[in-house]
Amino acid sequence: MKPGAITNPEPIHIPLGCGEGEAERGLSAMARGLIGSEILKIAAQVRALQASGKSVCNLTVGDFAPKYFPIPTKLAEETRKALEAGETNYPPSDGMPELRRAIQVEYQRRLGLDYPLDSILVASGARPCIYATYRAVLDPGEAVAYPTPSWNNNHYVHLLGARGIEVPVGRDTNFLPTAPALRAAAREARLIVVNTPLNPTGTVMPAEEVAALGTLLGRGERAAHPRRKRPLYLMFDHVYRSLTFRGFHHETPVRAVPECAPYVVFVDAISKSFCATGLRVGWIVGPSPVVARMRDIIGHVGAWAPRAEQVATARLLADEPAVDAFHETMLREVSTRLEALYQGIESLRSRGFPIEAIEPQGAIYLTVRFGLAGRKRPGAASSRPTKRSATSSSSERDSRWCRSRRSGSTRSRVGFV
Amino acid sequence: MVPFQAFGVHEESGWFRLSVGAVSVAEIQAAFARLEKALAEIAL
Repeated sequence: MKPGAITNPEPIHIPLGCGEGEAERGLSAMARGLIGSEILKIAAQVRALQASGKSVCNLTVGDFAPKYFPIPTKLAEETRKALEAGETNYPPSDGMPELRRAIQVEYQRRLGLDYPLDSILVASGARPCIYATYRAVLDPGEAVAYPTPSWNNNHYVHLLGARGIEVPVGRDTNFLPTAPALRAAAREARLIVVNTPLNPTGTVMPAEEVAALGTLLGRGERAAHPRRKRPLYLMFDHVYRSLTFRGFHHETPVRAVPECAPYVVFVDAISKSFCATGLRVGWIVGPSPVVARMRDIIGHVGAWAPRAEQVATARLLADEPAVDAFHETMLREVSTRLEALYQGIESLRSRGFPIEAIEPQGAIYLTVRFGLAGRKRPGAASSRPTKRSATSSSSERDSRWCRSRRSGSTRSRVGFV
Repeated sequence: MVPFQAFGVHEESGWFRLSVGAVSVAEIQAAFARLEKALAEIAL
C-alpha cells in the first residue's frame, strides 16, 4: 500500500438528518425565500407522463432535443479536438483571446458594432452574465425595471436583494415594453432589463422602440431626470438574435443611438443560436469599466466557460460559411414547427374554439391564449389541490392537462396535450 | 407548455408559452387531434 492511501475502506453511514426545522432555520433568508424554476417543475411532470407511456407533445422547456436540433458539426468536432489537444486547464478570467476576438468580429459583421476587446467578457452561458450585470450595477435595495412576462427577472431580483419594478405588458404590444412605459419605470430604477426576441413570447421589439430605448439610455434619460445621481443601465439580452422570421429583424439600441453605449450591457450566448444549451458558453459586451468588474464577479463565482468549448466556439464563429449554413437550416426547422403550431391554432380559432396565438416572429416560442376560464372537463372534480404528483390517480384521470402553479381552482385549468 | 405565471405574471391570463425545440412537426400535428377533442369537451 502506498503511504497515505486507503484501499477499499468500509464506508461509514453519514448522519445527515438533523430535522427539517433545524435545516430550515440554518438557511439564509434569501435561500428560504428563493423559488426554484417553475418551468423545470412542469418539465419534470412531462417526463413522468412520458415515462408512464402517455403520448405527450412536449412544448414546455426552452431547450432543444438533439435528435431534431444537433449542435453544429464544426462545434462538436472542434470541442473534441480541443480536449484532445489539452485545452483542459483554467481559461483566462475574461475568456480565451481567440474567442473574444471572434466575438468582436461577429459583432462587427452581423450587428454593425465595433467594440474594443476589453468590452468583451466570456462566461458559462447567459445566466452568469445576467447575474454579473445585476451584481455589478445594483446595490441592495436599488431598483431594476423589467417587463412581465419575462424570464427569471423576478428570481434574480430576489437572489440579489434588489427591488423589482414590474412593467406589465400585454397583447396590445405583443407583450413587449414600450419606451414610454420603461421611461416611467426608469425614474426609480438603476437598471432596465430588456430581452428581444423575447422569452417567453417569441415576439421581436420593433426598430423604432429599440431606438427609443437607446435615446432613453443616452442623453434623453439624463435630460428627463437631471437629479439622478447615478447612471441608469440597460441590460439588453439578445440570445435569440439569430432567430427571427416573417420579415422581423433584430435591432440593437447601440446601433440606433451610439451615445447610449456607455450604459448598455449586451448579454449573448451560443445556447440558443447554436442549439448548445449544455455547452455553456455565453458573453457580455459592454462598457469596459463595468465589464472589468463583471470579470471579477464571474471569476470569484468560477463561472467561466469550459476552455475547450471556448476554443471550439472561436473556431466555429470564425468559419462564417459554417455558421451561415447552420443558421439557414436551424431557421427553417424552427420556423416550420412554429408555423405548424400557429396554423393549427388559427384553424381551431376559425372554427370557434376559444384559442388564439400571436404570429411567429422570433426565438423558438409561440404565444397562445386558451380562453377557458371558468370551464372544466366533464366529470372533472370541482377543485383540486394546487400541488399534485404527475403520477397520482387524479393526474392519471386528467393526464393531458398542465395547470398553473399559483391557482388552486379549476378556473386555472388550461391545457395542452 | 408554460403558463405566463411562471414568468412573473400574477393574474390568471390564459396565456402560455409553447416551445418547439423538442418536438417534430409530426408530433405537433398529431397533438392537434387530441387538443381539438379536449377543447370540444370543455369549450363547446
